[in-house]
Amino acid sequence: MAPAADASDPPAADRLARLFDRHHARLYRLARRMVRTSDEARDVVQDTFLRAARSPRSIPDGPSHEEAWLVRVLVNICRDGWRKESVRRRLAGSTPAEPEIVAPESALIARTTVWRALDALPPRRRAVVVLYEIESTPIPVIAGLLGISSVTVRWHLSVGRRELARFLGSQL
Amino acid sequence: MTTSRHDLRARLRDADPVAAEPAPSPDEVARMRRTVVAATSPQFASVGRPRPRATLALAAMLTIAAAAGAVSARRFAVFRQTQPDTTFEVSTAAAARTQMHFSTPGGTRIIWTFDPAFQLRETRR
Repeated sequence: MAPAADASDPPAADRLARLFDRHHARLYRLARRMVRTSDEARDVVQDTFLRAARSPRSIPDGPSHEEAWLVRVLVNICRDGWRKESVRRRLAGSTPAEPEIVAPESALIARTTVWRALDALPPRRRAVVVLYEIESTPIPVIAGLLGISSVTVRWHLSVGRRELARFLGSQL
Repeated sequence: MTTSRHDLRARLRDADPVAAEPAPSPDEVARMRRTVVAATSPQFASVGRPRPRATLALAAMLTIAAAAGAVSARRFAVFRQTQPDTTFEVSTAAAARTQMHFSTPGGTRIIWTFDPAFQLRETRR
């Protein structure tokens, strides 16, 4: 990995570089499961760390606290994007954009259907579903990461499953 | 057709793009890292240690503000001596207005102006 030679403040750059090295891979995986394309995921991860650079004092010490802070920022960035997209869609009077994949293979169609269903979920609910169902993160850990109670996590999970099942059921 | 919980989990995992796509290349990661580190603000890791530039800037600002205040006070004193009493009363009334400034963490600024001449009953008419 390249050293931080161009940073304006070396200790600051070192801390941010350590933060990046420790968490970027995990944040990318979450971001990729939260947005439609890998480019979008990279942008979201970069924006997350740029916010860290702008608000250094709000980052708690310790890897798990840092991770929770970064995950919350990432989900908030996804929420901002989701809201803007919702407003844009409402103004344009259109339905959610479909993922770029258009192929006759049934496996790809199935994946596309699942991702359309996930796109319909609000970002926090989507994060709960992704963390629990795909990453097998325990509910108390999800609660700690997102800064919400376990009860709220269960509620999001329940509603999210219902919405996904309804969407997927209607697409079958 | 219903989608069971187990089936839902299986379908989500089957559609997982992280499993299907390659991770960002080392070059992409390095580029992102450079961008992020270059954006580091000077205050990032300086909690608890003095920052000479910021301290100097603050001292300079305070000095300028004090000098401006002294000059204004002198000019106002000269102005008071040269003006008749009636004019001075008007200035006093205007000066009696006080302001309260708030600012939210998001950057929104709110300014309340308290006007002693304001009468609520008069505005209702």
